[in-house]
Amino acid sequence: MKFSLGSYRIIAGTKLQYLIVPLLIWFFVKLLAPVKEGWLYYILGDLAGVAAGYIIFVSMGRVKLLKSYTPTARVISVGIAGLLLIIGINLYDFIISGNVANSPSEILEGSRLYTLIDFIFSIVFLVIGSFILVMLMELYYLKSRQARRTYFNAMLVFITLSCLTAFLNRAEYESLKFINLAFTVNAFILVSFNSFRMAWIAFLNKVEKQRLILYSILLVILFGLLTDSILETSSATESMKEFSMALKFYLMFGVLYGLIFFSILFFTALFHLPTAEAIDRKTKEFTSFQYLSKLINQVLDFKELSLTITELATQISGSEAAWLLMHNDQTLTPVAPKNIGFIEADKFRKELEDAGWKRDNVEIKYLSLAANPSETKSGERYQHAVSVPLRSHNNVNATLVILKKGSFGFDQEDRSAIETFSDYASIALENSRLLQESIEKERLEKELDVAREMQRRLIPAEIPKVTGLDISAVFIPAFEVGGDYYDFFEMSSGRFGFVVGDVSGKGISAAFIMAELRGVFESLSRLINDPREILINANDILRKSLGSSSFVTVAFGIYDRAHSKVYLVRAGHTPILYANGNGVEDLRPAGIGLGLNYSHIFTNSLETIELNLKDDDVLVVFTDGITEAKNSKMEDFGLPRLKEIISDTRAESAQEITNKIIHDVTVYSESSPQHDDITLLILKVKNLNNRSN
Amino acid sequence: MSEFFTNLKENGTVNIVELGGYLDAHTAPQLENVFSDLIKSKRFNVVVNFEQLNYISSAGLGVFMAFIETMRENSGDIKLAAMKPNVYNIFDLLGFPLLYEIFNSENEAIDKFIKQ
Repeated sequence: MKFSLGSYRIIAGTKLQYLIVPLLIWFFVKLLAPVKEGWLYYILGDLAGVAAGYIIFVSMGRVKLLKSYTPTARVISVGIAGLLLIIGINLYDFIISGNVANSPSEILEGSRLYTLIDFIFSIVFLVIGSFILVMLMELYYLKSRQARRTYFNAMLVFITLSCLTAFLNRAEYESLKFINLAFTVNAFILVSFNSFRMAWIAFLNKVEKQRLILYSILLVILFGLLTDSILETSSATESMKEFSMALKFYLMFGVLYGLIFFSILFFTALFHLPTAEAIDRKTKEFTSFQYLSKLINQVLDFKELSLTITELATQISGSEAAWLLMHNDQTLTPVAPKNIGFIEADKFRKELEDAGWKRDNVEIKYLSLAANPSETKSGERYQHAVSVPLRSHNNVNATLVILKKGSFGFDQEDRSAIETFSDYASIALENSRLLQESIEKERLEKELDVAREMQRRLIPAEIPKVTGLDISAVFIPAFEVGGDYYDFFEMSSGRFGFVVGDVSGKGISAAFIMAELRGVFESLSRLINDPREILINANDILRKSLGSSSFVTVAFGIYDRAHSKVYLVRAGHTPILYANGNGVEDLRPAGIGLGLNYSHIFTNSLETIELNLKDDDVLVVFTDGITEAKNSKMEDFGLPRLKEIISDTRAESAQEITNKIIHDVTVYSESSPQHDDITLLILKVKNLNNRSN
Repeated sequence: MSEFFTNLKENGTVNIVELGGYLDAHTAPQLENVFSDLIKSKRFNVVVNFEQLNYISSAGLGVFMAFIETMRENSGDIKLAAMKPNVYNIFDLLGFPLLYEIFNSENEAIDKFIKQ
């Protein structure tokens, strides 16, 4: 059986339907009994009544409030029940004494209608009384230990016994009255004893306790009135006594329990009030730590994390303002200020330093600003401050600053809370930082992938076939993308251009400049035949994209087959090696790197070297990745070694010379990682005179 | 690999920055900070002593390029001195001698400032 009533839901199981049995018995005994006296009549009636009360009580025990079922809500419920009871009793009194007789016994004897009224009101009172008892029982068990169950159950047993023997109070059983008296006294003692059980009160916050004091005053008055109206002699009580002495006793116990309970509640709440604040703090502290330990795993957003840290810091230490000072290389930046402005927080640093704080403090430091309580813009005066270094591996990454008003400063509890908190906050911050780092690392790796891909696409896919030249090119990228680049151009009147460049810097920024460089040379080589002019124009164009600290070195050559000549220019690049029958020469046509200067100095610096080529002459254009390749002693591979290889292998094909150089460089630098791109371009003159070829 | 270091000295109106170790993309920011601080405190006459510098990469060269303009605009300069041959070679290949004053010794560079 299940039904809802407002926010109450009654889940009565199967028990509620049994209620019909005692109620029917009660009803028939009362209404149809031939003789309305004698112990059998009383006992039978009261037994039925007590049984009905028991079933109602047990069913009530399952009443559940759907929403917040706080102690205060229960107290208010008792109050409402008390009000209903007082209205019920008065209504009952009014109906019975209203217009009819002076003596209740006359009425009772007179009419079955009144018996029916008695019966209905009895049930109503039984329900209300049970509700009050159930609510008080719940308040009794709330936050209480299991062992206390005995006392409450004993009380219920004595109340039941007292109710069952209540009829002995009738005049005719005067001699047996003591039996009831004994039960009643016991029940009363247990009621008083149980009224002291209110463990839950300590768990309420200050506001709730204050409210409770008010409620308990009202409820003491209400239950005082109720006790009075039940114990006094009125038509209602007389009639109730006549109808069921047990019911009257039952109500009496309920009402007395309420009266004693709320009187004690009033004093308990009153005595708990001074400590309420401390308990409030403890509770907050506890929830703060719970929250923070969850937070340690939620560190995706640094900003959010820092805000939470300062927010919680003020909560756990019962202070007013807090912020984080992030330790960067030179500076300290205030972050996530709570109850204080950014600028004010920044200015406060001086006050902290005056009070003895240093940025490299590794211990929590309590500072007294009392000598000179400073007033912030908003007019707040803070007398106390604490600086909490948040560390990871002995490195202070941030300092948490907490400010407190008042003359008492941070007490022992604040201090231990701050200490615990600092550990949590340090871990959370460190996790956040590690996460950011790994995200950053991943981002850089992705970026490098992009740069490598760009570089791969920028470099010619194949080597062009040029009459009279045996060409070989090799490009070995470094992991970080060093910014090397080479290209070939078909130019007007059968000329053939080649370029090797090295962009300063690495990674994606170098790759972007390479891309631009390629476009610049590609288009300039179609328009201009003079390599020097090409570089002057390229320098001008690149001005827009090269920053103040980037530059490009370039070696540019144009091979003119018709005249067996090559024209070479160099802008800050490594020398071009030229091998002929007389040995290997390094050519250094003068020239400043692109992007270093945009005036006539650059233009004037550029020099063109013109060579008359013969068969088997070899030109080697390379980047510093070769000459600066390092061995285990960090010594450079160097130009002399390179020249020697070329001298030894000049007779061989361009590809074979290339292979030999790369082989030697690789062997030389075996033990140290390649930290720059390697580019090597070899042009060997062949069959100059065989023009048909 | 020897650790990169910078050391700042003063000689009258001339500020001397001593460099040592390897100046590359990883250590360049340290030198940038030194130059930034000099500019902040309005000290524009700078001599860089390369005596103990073993290696300079393109990123290291970029640092000088980035700051020399500011120094010159404030009628100061960065003068380079006492380079090892391999370091000078790198500056030379790039054409720096045409743009910067490079001296054999620190004193020569300082004298040049004083004579100006």
